[in-house]
Amino acid sequence: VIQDNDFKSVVTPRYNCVGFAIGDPNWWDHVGEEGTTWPADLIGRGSLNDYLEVFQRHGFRTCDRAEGTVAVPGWENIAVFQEAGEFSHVAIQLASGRWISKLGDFEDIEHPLEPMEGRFYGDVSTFMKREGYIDRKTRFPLV
Amino acid sequence: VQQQLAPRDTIPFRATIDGQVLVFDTAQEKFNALADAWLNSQGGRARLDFSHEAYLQIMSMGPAVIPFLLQELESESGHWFRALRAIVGYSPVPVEVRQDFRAASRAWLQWGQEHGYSASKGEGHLDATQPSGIAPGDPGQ
Repeated sequence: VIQDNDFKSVVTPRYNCVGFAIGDPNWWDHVGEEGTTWPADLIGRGSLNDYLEVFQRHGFRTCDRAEGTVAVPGWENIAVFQEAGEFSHVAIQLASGRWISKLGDFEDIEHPLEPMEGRFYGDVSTFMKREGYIDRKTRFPLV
Repeated sequence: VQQQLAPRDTIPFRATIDGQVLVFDTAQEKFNALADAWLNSQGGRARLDFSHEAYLQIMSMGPAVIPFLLQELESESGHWFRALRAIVGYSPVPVEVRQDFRAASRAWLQWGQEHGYSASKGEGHLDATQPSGIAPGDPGQ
């Protein structure tokens, strides 16, 4: 679980919410463009299921809402948003139970899930969790 | 009746942004407005949209905007690689670093230096030291 105030991302197009969630400081996008990253066998495939597969390849497994919204030490929870059936956003849960997410190329914000749902990024389609903890302070460049 | 075409340099710079046709005095002003429109459209979004009208109009401006695009890369305002590659016709970014935003930016900025393009916030220009910014059959492919 990420501790509250443990890490703040910066305004940058170098990584997006997907990179922030999985702990890889790159812009994860299926477009296959320079300056972005994506599994080679999924280039050009950007469905919601393709994004879920990317999260699975990084150790996340699907769980229900009850399990996916309880912060447990030693685990990382993510909430995957969809809008009109397409992947739109992903947030990570903090130890406090609130959520944190990087908004595109903007910096991350801390938030409860509810205001994000239905207003900015559609709805949470899937909750996922993985065991372990990634130290984003050392992985993500601050400048 | 044969229509008299205006000299190229007297045709105002037009762009369509959010459904409105706007006229600009310079290519730089037109580019800036289109770049802002695209960046604003992307703000907060996880997925890049290169089919956005503003991005397409930037690509259609051709080599004149290369200095502006390089400046945008230098300041890390957004993902301008596709526009550069579309205008230039190839990419100088080595395959092994193409997923790394900063490494890809460095490769393009170096390409700009080698081909006489300056990353400039001022008037876009081609350095006089190089007569042509894009050489056909450039070995950088």
